[in-house]
Amino acid sequence: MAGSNPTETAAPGTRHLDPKTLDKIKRLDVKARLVVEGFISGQHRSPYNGFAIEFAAHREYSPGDDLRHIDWKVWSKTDRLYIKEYEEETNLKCQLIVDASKSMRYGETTGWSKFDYAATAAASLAYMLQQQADSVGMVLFSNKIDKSFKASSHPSHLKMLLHELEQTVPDDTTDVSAPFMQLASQIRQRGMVAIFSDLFLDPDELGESLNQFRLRRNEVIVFHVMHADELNFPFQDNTLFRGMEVDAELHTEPRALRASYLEAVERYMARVKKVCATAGIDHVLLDTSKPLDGVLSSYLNFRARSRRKLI
Amino acid sequence: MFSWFLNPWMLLGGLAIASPILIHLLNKRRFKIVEWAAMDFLFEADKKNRRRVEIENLILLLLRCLAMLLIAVMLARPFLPSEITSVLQQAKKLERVIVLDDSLSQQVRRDNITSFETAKSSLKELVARFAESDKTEDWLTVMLTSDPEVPIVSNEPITMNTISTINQTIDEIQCSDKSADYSETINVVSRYVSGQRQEGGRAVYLFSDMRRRDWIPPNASDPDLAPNRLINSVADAIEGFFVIDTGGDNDQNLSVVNVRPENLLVADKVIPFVVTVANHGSSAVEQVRVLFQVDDGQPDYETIPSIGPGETRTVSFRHVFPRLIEEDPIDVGDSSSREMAIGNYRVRAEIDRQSLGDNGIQNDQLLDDSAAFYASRVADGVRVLLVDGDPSAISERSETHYLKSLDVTGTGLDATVATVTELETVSLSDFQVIFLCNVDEASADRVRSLEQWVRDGGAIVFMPGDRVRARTFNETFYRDGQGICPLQLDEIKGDPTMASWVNFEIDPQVHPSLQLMIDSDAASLNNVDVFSWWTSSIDESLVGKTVSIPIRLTDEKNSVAMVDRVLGKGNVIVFTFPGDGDWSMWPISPTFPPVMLELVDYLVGSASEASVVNINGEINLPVDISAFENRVAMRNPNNEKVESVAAPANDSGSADSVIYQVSFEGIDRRGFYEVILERHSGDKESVLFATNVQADEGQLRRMANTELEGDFFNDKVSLVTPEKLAEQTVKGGSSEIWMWLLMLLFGVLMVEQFLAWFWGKRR
Repeated sequence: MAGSNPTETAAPGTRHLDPKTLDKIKRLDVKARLVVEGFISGQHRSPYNGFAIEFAAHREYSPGDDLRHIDWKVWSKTDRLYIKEYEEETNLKCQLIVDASKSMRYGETTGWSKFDYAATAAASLAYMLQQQADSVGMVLFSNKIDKSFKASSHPSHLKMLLHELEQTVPDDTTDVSAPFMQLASQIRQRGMVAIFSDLFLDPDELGESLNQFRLRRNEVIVFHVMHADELNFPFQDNTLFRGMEVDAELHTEPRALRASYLEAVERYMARVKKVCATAGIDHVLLDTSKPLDGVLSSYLNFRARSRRKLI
Repeated sequence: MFSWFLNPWMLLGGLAIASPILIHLLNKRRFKIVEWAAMDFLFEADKKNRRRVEIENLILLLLRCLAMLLIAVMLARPFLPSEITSVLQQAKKLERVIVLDDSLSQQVRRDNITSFETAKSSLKELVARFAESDKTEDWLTVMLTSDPEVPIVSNEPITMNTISTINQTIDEIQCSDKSADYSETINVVSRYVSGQRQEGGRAVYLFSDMRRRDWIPPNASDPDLAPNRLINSVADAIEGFFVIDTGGDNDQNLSVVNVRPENLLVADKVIPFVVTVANHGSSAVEQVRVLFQVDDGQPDYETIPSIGPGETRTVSFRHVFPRLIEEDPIDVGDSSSREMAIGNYRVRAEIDRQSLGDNGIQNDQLLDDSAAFYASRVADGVRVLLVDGDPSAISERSETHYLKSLDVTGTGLDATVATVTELETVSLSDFQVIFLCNVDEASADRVRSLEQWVRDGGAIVFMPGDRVRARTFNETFYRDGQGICPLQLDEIKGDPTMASWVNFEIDPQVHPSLQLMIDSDAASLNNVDVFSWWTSSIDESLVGKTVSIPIRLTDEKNSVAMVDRVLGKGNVIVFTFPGDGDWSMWPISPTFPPVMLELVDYLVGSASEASVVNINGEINLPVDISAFENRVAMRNPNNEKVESVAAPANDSGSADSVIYQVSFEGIDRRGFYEVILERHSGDKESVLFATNVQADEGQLRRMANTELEGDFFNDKVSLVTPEKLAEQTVKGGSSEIWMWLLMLLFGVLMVEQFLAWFWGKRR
């Protein structure tokens, strides 16, 4: 899993929601539902189990047990009935950690910003988890924790989370070390942590911060949000680039820098992926120019296949 | 520097070099602003690329500036010297413009060879060297100073194949009799080289005998227009200007400046000729014998004892031309007119070189200016009509006796006597002077025709006596001042008994007719006794203008004795006494004949200069096509015959005028030109003209080399001897290089486009 891009497994030809179309929908809950139902319609298996079921151990069958949980493969080999036991199969707690720093606002002048894309992705995930009665919490951070909501599976909680996401205006600089340290200590129960950020920070520092979650046996998924401009650098004319989080600017001819810039981005992405892979963290690149439902769908399929292999 | 460009002002276009820089700066001011998150990646990329991009941009900017500069230089059409262009081209076209001084002074001999031959030999050697050279592609133009507008060789290639033809052309060049006008020649060369400025270079070679008269013309007013100054400006436009010295140092030369008759040329009269000889050298010449010859007759010699340096001396010869037609008195009753008989005689005056002894060549280097020519057109006599108003069977008692007695051999007069009646029918055009002796009447028509005849150049002399009636005279000839006579006769005064007399009082402003007498014996005329005379009235306002009073009488009223009135082209003379001896002793005085003969000469006019034509001038002659064919021939001094057709004269005034004019141009040889007119009957008549060399052409004084070189401030101008000419090299023929610049521009633009594409692609 490490080092590979889960989104690359998306089935070709799948019809997904165009980000531009999605951008026209203002309400985040509607967006989330459209995204989730969009990719559900293309699945043969329900994706819900993917997050909720985590195999723990076998125990011998006793009357009253649900026959659906009998491991027939073991019976066929041992002629004994064993029941597969799952941990927290009904009470998964997931924390959505969304970067609300100023750099996430990039793209808002021309369409969907990175924050919009991240918020929609987070909302979609929250919606999907809420559908299977899992608890979802949310943290908004920049260089500190701006807002924090404990996990809950109550439907009204989801509404509140989505409302918060809608109301949030990204600001301030990015710093993950302090917020992640603080968050890791706050999450006492094992669960899942989904981070939505552009990760414009030192990869080593990022790795240390992510390890805080892994040390507490949380499953961590990094949704790396990058704007298409940042990935392709399509600028042609003379441009004055002004830093969104740093007080610096650069007047340059973009064409002259494009190759070196893309090399720098590629190196950075490689380091981030390496950091994630080393820590056993899924790294999912969210390119704002790609359909969100397709990306999520690809990742969930990938994840489901990975689970079955492990079992 | 700017002389390297045909359109130097186009270099201003080089300011366009600033345009790429301006565009660059303007582009830097036009940018968009992007709020950017991933600044770290940008800074990293910028740090890595900045220096390389700056260098690439600088190279592109320089290439674009270079392209603009090349366009401006190309439009300015530059030339480059051949030492530069020869790297690009194997051979360079170079036109050699030869200017050969073929003026008469080039005939000076040095070591038994003329300067002109020296110049031609040097020229042929030069051309041969050009033909052998493989460094340049040489072309030749040869001009002569006698006619620089028409080159005798015009832009011909000099190759081993053409050299024989060129040499033949050079051999055939003859020295002219003209003087050189270097200023005009150099101006022609200047126009030529500037008009031919297409490709290749030009070098000018002026073969000069270095005469001061040529380099500093005596009439030059503006020193900047002097030839030695003009050369500098011509040299700016060419690759080199060489002045080749073919002249010698010896300036000793004698020349016969001219030969002229002093009197009217008539037959049977002693005509004095004056020959003027000049010594142009810097040392005196002794015992200069001058030869004088008419046609092929026996030559006369006179010797001038000494002529100092720069001095001019004259020597006189006397000659009597014979009559063409024997004495044959005019029958005035015959209405048919008689043609005037004119004899043409070639008069030549020349320095007898043998008189100069062994130093002949040294004292008189230039042979060709040692002779002068004069075309003598000699009339048989001055035809005079004597109208006698008081004829007598006894000749001595007639009014015209004393005048008629002047018609003897040696006086040049051809007198005819007529009565008052015959005056009415005589053909006036047969006569040059008419004396009206004691005549007071004529018909109105005759008076009108007389007036017109005078206005056309005739002359009337009134000599009234006792037969004249004052009233009749005044009504006929004075007509209240409107007539031809300037005097109104009043009454006769004096002493008929001859007991008392008065004398002449000569006006201080001596009349030409009296000059000879005054010069020989100043008091003789004052002793003439006059016993009776006509008193007269004159319009004093005319005196000093058209009327003069050369002689008055010493009576109380200081009466007028002689009046001269100018009327049109002619004259009217009035004496207030008759031409016989009734009223005065003058007709029997020895002063009478010379005064009368001088008077006739004065009235007819002195020896005409019309027979002398300046060299380089033209011969113009009126032709009466009622008598002659309009096709006229002319023989030049080389006995070559040319023809011309007479055409109506521009100033004839009348469309049906029978007086045409014939012209012959190109009078460029000294000697005699004979114009031959053919009558309708087939008879031929000649009119002779003479041409002499320009008087100062014999001034052989050299222009000092240092003086000349001092004015050659252009380093392209060199003064060399024929021997040193072979060592001279032209620095280079300039040629336009716009094609090279265009190719370079194309290359620069291609490189710029490629680099822009390559670097852009790499980015």
